[in-house]
Amino acid sequence: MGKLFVDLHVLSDISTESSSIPEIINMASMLGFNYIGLSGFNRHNIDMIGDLKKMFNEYGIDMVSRVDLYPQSVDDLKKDLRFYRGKVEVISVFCNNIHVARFAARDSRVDILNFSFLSWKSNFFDVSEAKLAAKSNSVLEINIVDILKCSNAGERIKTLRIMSENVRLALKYGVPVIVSSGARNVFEMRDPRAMASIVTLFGVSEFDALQFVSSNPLNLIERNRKKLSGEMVCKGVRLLGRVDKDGKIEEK
Amino acid sequence: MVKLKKNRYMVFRVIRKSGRLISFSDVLNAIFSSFISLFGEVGSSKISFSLMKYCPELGIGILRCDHLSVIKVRAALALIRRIAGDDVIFSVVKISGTFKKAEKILNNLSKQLITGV
Repeated sequence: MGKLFVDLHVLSDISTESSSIPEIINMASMLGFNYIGLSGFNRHNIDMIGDLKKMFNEYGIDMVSRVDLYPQSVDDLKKDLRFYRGKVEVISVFCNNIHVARFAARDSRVDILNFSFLSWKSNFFDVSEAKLAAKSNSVLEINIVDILKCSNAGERIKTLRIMSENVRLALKYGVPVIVSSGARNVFEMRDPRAMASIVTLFGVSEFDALQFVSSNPLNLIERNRKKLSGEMVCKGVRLLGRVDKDGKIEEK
Repeated sequence: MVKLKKNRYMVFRVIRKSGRLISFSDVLNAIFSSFISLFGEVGSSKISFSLMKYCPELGIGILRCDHLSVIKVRAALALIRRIAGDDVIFSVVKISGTFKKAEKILNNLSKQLITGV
């Protein structure tokens, strides 16, 4: 069986003015993705997840529900995490300030860390952040759309520089990296091998780059699905079966 | 004698938003400007590359490069957003070691696109 490819960050029209679900399904199958992380869920449309999953499954694509959080303070983040953690498969946090960044890296309920690549001042992924993220199994996400949307060469050079430094730090301290499109429009999506080839510009080997679009996001999805199914009791403890009243073991 | 540089033939597809025809020269210019913005003039000159075939109606074609610069070419193609004012995605369908095989893949792809199967 060939590699399974994942684009864990695609925005749809369920909450913002983006591409429609059929457009996303069509483009994802054309580009060869097996999993699509659909973003844009909020408190009002979270009950649509089941129907959307069925829709994607009809075309042989596995949909992963994802929430993007843009908290201004740690309290906001805590409130959102309490609400969403049991409901969606992947939670991503955009770290706007240092307090949020540190808390998100420390909290194991946060799956994905996102940072601004526009300037060094607003990018909080440093050594301490990387160490915290590695401990709590958080993942660093690189969105290809951040490179595509650069309006001039100067901006693109800066973005590539910050991204490559973040990826270097993440690899040094054992933080898994995932590469997603971050597309608001289907024409911002790229095929998985193209996304991997863009990452090789940061000095990453081709093998590692392919892992960023296949095995790293897949591990994250599998881990979270196990957690949500109740199979994982806590870190390192997995439920294999239950003992009934007669003392027999019911295997899961 | 062992060849130091081997040719690779990339079968690509240009997915267009409006479906408007994009000419050979527009595609070539877009690729060159992406190379220059990503690798600069000196870096681009080290990449041996040529656009061998392009069908504007279907938006598919073959381009040749050496095996050492496949990833660079792929990255440059991925960063092309617009050609002649139209949003596009440059998608590499298959990479082959011979032109004959690449042509075969291109023919199959064109049949697929025409029949829609």
